[in-house]
Amino acid sequence: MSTRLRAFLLVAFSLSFCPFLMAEGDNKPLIVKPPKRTLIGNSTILASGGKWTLVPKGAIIQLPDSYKNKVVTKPKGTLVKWSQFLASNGSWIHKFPVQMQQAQGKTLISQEVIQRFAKMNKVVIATCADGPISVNPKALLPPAEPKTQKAP
Amino acid sequence: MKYFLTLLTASTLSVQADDYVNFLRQVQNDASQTTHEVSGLANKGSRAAMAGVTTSSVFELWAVNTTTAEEHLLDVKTVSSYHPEAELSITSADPYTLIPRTRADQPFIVTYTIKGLLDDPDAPDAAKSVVLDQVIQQEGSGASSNVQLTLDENETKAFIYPAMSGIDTSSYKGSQSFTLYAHPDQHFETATELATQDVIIFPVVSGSMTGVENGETYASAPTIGINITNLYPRSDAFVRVTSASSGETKIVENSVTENPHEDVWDFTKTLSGAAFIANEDGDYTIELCSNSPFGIEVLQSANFTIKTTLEINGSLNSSE
Repeated sequence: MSTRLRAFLLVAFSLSFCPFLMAEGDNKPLIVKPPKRTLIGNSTILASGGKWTLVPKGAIIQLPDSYKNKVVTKPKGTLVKWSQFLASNGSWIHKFPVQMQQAQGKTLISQEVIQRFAKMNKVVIATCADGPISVNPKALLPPAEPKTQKAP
Repeated sequence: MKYFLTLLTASTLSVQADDYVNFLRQVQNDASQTTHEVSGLANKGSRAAMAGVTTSSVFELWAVNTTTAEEHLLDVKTVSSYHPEAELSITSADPYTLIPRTRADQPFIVTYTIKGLLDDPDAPDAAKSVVLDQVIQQEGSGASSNVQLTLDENETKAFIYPAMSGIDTSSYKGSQSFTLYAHPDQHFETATELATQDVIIFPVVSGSMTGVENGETYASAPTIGINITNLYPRSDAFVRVTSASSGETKIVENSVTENPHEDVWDFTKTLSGAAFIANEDGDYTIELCSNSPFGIEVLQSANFTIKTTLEINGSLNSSE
């Protein structure tokens, strides 16, 4: 018998008088549970050259038609971390650092910057502290026109 | 409220770096669930929260297999200004720490720690108690059951879960998920996940040998066929032979086969007679065994005799 198994059984025996959870509970739900978490389901998959990576949904703030094939629905090939994927695909990915307030849609991203992205013909991905971050679509909207009031 | 934290990301992980990429997701509890990601984390370490925490954030630690894309939620922590703190861990006899795992005939232990609950009747529900939720899921059948229990003490406590009853342990495969939830408060409809941990449950290994019959006598060591079903991940199967006269036991060298996968594994193998035992006359016991975190188990055994001298019953008569 292995040392690990002996240690486990010793602990298990010492706990044997604890009440069993399954015996205490019942089937009446006490809470409404949030939806089951999924990483890939909450991500956009980027793939190129047999490698793929994940970024949070909403992190891509510009996707030119010519690179739509880089966004796939099912992973295929080898998963690599974001920084490795970026290093290999810098020719068509542009990393755009944002502040948390912008990501949350509390402050707007300049329209000048957004128009500059349109001319780059690259996939633009928002980042914060070098990691991809989702951006509230509100942050990409032009500023609201100031309301004018008629003179009395 | 905004503050920073240091998050212990993967202190208990022991993952082969080439097989998995670790992800840390921070989901802000705001209207758009702003999500920040760091990938390629080392198996052990800590780091400051990437962007601080506004009101509350959920940190999810994931490992994703680089080839199969199978994702595993390793840990979840909620950091907020009003929720209690909770930790949850599962241990079994298997030292594998990426995801706790065990076998259908073995127990496991669930340990939780709760801090920060208030003993104030006027406090919001979210601050007075938490709910421990257990989901039992059988793979393939779609069958699942759910048990919930209210916990209202600040304490560390462990429950032992004995082997499941009423199941066929040789075929049962599934998982159990344990999660500590904070009750929803006035701002939320659903409960907030504070900590979660899964345990994978594998079926019990079985095995058989062909080519050797209990009580039979052979003129030479027979050729043995091995058939193993559900060999536990990273465990060995082997054949050993014990001589009745000398008492010596030998593990048949080329019989040792390790399951190289993180899942149960079936295989067959043939051992030729000369390969596993010297052709010496005598009585022997042959055993097909499994060596797993749960110990060495004999899956099948047989007693047999080797007798190389041929005895002929008869007589020679002369007619002279």
